[in-house]
Amino acid sequence: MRKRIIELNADRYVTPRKEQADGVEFWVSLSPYQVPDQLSCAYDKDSGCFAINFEYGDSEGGEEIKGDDLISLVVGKLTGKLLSVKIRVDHFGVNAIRLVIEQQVLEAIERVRGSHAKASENYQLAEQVLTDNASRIAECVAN
Amino acid sequence: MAFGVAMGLFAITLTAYLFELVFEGRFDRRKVYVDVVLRQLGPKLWAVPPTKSDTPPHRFRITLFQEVKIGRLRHPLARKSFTHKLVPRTRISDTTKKPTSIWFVHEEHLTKCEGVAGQIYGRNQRFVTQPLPDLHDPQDSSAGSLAKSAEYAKLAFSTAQRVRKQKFGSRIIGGIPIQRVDGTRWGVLVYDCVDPQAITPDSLGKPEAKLLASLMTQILARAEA
Repeated sequence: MRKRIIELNADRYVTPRKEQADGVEFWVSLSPYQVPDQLSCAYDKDSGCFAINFEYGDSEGGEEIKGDDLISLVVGKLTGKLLSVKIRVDHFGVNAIRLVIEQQVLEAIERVRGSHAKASENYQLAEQVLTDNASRIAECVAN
Repeated sequence: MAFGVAMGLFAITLTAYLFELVFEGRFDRRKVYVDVVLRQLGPKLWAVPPTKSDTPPHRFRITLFQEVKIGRLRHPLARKSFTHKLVPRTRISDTTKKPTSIWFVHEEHLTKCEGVAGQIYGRNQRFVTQPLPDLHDPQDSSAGSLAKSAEYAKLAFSTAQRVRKQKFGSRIIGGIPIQRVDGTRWGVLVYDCVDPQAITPDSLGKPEAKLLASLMTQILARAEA
């Protein structure tokens, strides 16, 4: 299994927002631990799965959420942040991977987002990262 | 007989109290590494680099707080409302005064998290207050001063009594959470300054914030291994 790294500048996706509690206004934004440093992409020939792993500043343990037989997500046990996306490449074919990322993977993330409200902002960031890097990820599969 | 039992209980209580004190002091062996990282990377998160000045009580501070589970003996009353306290472990500042403020927090209830440090801990997000009132204005009347203290306490998630007692000088407070390698909360890094422009949401969003948090996590992991 060959691993490829895609460096990210994900801080540019982090937008501070104004919130209010008991009449007090303040600014909040995503924790540094919820912003990925890089993507590591790897294809496992035996399982036929292509994994897109989000690398963060910590190494939180994950749990797999099976959406369907073709795409599954791994989210953090404590924070719920998106750790990994696994795609059954053998089923889709290498050429379709970019389309799969831009459509089915984003849909799978949206589905999980509803049940993991506390990591909602992280999922939104992950979607932006995947959309912007879909072609680079597809190159990893092709190579 | 009764006297012997009383003395025995007293001895046990004293031993347990001292054990709690020693247990809380385990941060010392990694402090030197943490200080190096904070001195190098910490100041990069200021929006306006603060300069040293003679204006009281300080100009800028970067304080690292660690979460500590509340001891049964040291805080018997606080245990009813809070689960942890945030204890200052080290500080980068333009004064040599040691940090003493402790903030009580609850690991599940945000409303029970004291101070800005508590809000960062409870929300697990980067956090910046609004500009805070100037409590050291010599032209303020006593009534005006009291009103300002109440306003300050509200904006800084503290109490007016504590604000008046500790004579807070910070005009802005913000910070980032610090985690262990396994994703559990370790503490918070708090920035405060007398210049209300010194911290902004964007300055805490700089790439250095992620590097700083990541390095702190690595140091803590090595020390705890």
